[in-house]
Amino acid sequence: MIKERLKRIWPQLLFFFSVIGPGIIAANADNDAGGISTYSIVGAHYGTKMLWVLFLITISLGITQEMGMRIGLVTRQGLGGVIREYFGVKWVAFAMLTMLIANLGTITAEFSGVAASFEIFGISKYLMVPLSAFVVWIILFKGSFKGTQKIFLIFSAFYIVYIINGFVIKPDFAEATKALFTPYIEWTPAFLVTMIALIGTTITPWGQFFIQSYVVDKGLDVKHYKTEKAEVFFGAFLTDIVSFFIIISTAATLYKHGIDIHDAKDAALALRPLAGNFAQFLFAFGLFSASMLGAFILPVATAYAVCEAFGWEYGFNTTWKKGRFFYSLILISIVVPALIVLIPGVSLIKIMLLSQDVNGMLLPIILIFVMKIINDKEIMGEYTNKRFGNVIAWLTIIGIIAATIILVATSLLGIGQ
Amino acid sequence: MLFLSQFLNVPLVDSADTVVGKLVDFVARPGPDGYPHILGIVYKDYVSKEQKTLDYDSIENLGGDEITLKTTIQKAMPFEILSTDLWLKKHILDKQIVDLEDTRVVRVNDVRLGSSDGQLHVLGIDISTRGLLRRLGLDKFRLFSFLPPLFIEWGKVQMVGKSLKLTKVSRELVKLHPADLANVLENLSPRRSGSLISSLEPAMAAKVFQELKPEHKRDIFKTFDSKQLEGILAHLPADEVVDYLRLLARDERTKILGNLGENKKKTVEEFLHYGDDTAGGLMTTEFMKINHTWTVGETVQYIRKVSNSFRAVLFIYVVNEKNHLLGVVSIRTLLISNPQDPIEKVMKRIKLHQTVKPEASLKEVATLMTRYNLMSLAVLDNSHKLLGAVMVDDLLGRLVPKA
Repeated sequence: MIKERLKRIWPQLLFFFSVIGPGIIAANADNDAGGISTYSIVGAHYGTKMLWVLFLITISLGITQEMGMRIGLVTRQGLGGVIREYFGVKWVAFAMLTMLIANLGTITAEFSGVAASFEIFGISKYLMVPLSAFVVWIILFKGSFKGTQKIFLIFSAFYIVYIINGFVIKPDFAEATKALFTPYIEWTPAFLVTMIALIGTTITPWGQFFIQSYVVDKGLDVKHYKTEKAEVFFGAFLTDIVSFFIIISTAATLYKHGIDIHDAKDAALALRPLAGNFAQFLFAFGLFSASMLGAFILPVATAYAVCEAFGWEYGFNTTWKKGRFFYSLILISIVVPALIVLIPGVSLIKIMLLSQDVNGMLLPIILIFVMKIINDKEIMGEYTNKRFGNVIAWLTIIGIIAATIILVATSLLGIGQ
Repeated sequence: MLFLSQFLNVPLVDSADTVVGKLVDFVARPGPDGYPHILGIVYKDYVSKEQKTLDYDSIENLGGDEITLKTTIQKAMPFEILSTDLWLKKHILDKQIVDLEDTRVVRVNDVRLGSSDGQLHVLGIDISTRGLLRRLGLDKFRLFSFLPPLFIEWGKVQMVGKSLKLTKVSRELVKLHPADLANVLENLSPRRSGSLISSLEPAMAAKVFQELKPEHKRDIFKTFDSKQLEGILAHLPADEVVDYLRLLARDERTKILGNLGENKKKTVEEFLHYGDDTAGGLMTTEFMKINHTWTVGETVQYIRKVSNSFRAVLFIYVVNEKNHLLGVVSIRTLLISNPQDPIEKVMKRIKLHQTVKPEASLKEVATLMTRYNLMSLAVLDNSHKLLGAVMVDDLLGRLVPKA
């Protein structure tokens, strides 16, 4: 009897460890350069006032990631492939263009993160950005993508310091908890820009593509659904716990003293209570690893998605000749963002924040495709959405669109300036 | 060259010069030459806003700017679509197909058409980038004519979409090696590969099925209906059937067992009965075995093809037509032997006392393996047929469970 049971539990355990990954990696990579800076700004400029948004989008993140995962399990295709089959070539071209713009924005944020982390020590971006772009390129082509990804994933676990820091500061947890459930909004462009960036850095177009391709690539299928579902929700929870602590850390330090964030040095101040003079180094290290993780994953993820949708050969085991679109796309998505960061005088912090706005504003387009697909019986069979998922997802979509419209309106009318 | 994309959404003009609608799809049926012939069209009627059909014969001229009809729309003949008909846009365009020439899965960018004697038929599939640009409306001035055309001739195409049941299985498909076909199937969604397998002859289907990786097998099983399942199970070896049955609840098992042939049912039931602590319960059926008539070269070829569906390949069992165990051949032997050598010449013969019966205890298994320095022990039934093999790592795992 016991043996029988052991025989069953063991494979299940193995199974759990073998599928652990997509949700947690996607979630972790969410806290990239754009993520850290956006959360820092949210906390520094608005204190705990935006925590309610974070609470709501944690639910949305879990639900949208779960949908992407489910589409991947059922169709065994990436999102691009599914859009191609059911919406045709023009719609997929539109979706791909949307994703490409959003992703180039995010990669630009990653290289800004690299630049910002070195500027803390006074090392010039004109040296570090080309160098890191070159390193990314070399490792992608000569080295091991998976191994490198793991290294940076481990490095980026540095976020734990924010959690520890959060306790060292002894912030007002009661107030923070209250803020999680207390909606607050300012009808000013600055507030809305930050809020859309907060949404756009948490739920991302690329995250939607990434989670789906990941489960397809790993050869997972419907029987993994339950494990995957748990993992995805856990990942969403985990990533936003970190976000929560970044926000309350900056709220309790920078916001309290009325310091605005103009560059990475300011953001690093939030870690002072824990790390003292070591804070800048710690922050720079974390920002660098998170940026590099993103800079590795995103160009490849972009190229995979585009190639799948258009039927071009992809993967690092294709030859240069056969995979020229694949390699060109990777090259473009490394070089163009790196060049943008090199423009003299651009504000790195602004790039990191605004790129997340671009992501947030483009997100509804991708999510609408996802919604169309997930509610199509012909595609999903018995795995279509339940009402709860639909309501949350549509509320997310409508919420972002509304926020974007109001942002444009307030900016044009000059309200609250 | 004619392409499907040139005609989609083109206005339909009848003999009274009225624009009646726009083209939505072409409907084709296999012709005597094997190529699908276009017999009807589907168009969107501008008056009723509904999709309607027309017989292809009512078209006077097929142009990229307009499609003219021979008569007025009232007099034009509607076309009756059968459920087995092929819709070029709905079923083929943008879908994945199997390119049988290169045995890979590709995406359809356009469908190439040809006309002869007033007949329009499908010639093949365009998978080129130029086809893609044409679809996006970017090839108006033939700027991209430097891009190479990439066509797959219709005979080399196997469709895999939902419409699979409607199309005949390509003759080329059956010619593929089961292992190659299995490779292709693993790149498709379970539902698609399931429907592709079940469209094959049961015997062939079973062969291909065995070449799939275990996790794919399980998913694909789920996609079969009871009749397909019966056909395939009838052609699968007993151990495969057992593997499948072990996934099921008891009542479902009984139902499926009842549908098996008498002989097989007996073997399968025996398998299911072996206790956990016996050789029969511990043995795997996932090992390589080959026919004794093969040569070393053929064996190596076979290993190359199927090796990634096995956990490890250290040796290969050699059996005769009746599945009686004759001997074993190691990878080392294969490496150093002449490819032309017959396997029987190089294999090591296995004596009966170096094997066990399925009822044997773990202790017996361990003793035999230690005595003869075996990495695996063959399990034979009473008539000396090879049932399975106990692997040393499985045995160790059982003896030292906590390691």
